[in-house]
Amino acid sequence: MGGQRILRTKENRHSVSDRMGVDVPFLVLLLLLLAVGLIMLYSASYAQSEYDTGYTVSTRYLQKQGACAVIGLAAMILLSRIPPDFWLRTAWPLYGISIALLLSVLVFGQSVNGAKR
Amino acid sequence: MAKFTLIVLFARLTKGFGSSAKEFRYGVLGFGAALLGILIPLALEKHLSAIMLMGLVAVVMMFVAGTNPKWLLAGAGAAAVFVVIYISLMGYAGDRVTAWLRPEEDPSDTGYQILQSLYAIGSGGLFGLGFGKSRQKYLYLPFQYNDYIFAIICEELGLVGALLIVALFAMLILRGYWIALRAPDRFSTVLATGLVTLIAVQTVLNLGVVTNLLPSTGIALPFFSYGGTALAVNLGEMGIVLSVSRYRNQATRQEVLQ
Repeated sequence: MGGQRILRTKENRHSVSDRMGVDVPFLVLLLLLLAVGLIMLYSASYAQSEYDTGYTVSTRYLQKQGACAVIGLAAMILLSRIPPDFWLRTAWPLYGISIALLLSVLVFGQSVNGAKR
Repeated sequence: MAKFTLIVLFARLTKGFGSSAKEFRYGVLGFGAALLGILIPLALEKHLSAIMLMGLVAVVMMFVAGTNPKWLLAGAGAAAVFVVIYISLMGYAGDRVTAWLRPEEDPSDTGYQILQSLYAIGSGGLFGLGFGKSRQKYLYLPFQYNDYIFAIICEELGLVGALLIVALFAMLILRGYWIALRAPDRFSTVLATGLVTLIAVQTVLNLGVVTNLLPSTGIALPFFSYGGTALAVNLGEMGIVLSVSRYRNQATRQEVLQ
């Protein structure tokens, strides 16, 4: 690495990784899993969905999951542009907030059927 | 959200501690205190699965951060002992263990879910019944779209398909650790490791429950199980891992240019 001559480095090669900035294999694997996940979810859930809706809608669970996937992807793209330094600086405040939230759930204690995240 | 902030904080502490993490004072007490800060409220709210998850992730992160491993092993040993005692004393958890080890004893109630899951996996055979042809999902297997979705995967895609999916997860996780190891600074390394481990542990635990290698834990399979907030949050966390990879690439490029 480094040196005076023009080496045929990764930089000069204009690879896909360079253009995207992020790690492509990771991204690809992630998207693949997501895609398969959605498909399998539909397959696994359409029966339940129809049962729950009087046999009219088969995609109820898929829709919700799909919407969350879109939101998640948007978040992912956004967060991938934020330098890790940011997290360094916000570590303590974030921690404090989440403890505060956890404690406030204890105090105001509503019993939600499912996860409080 | 708490899981995320814990991870970030651990990473922050890592930077602050530097090499003194080897000492008990910092490596164990420091991280331990931060961990308890999140665990105690969770314990009070009885979020067993979250506690277990965060415990495992925290241990991994501490290891990467430089805490002396012997403390971690000691801690793990103590936790294991505690769990065994707890299970033998408490009724509710005891039920789960019975369902785990001898599901046949109560096939219509506690054992039901896991038995159905095993039926699903078994009938999948080598190549599965074919896409869309699962039988268990027709209202036999509860939570077929949630915690037990892997059973449906096995049933429809068979051994081959299921192994492929597992391989995909494995590759994602390994690549994630690869990114973490090549991060430009210690903070990023620990951060990325923690996030990837979150996914890894959830996956392993979920697969274990579905195949009855582990008693029921209530942990979902990332990216597959139905659960909107979890999905969005997981994707976001993966975005952060990507950001670590991006800024690592930048650092490298700058080195090269000089």
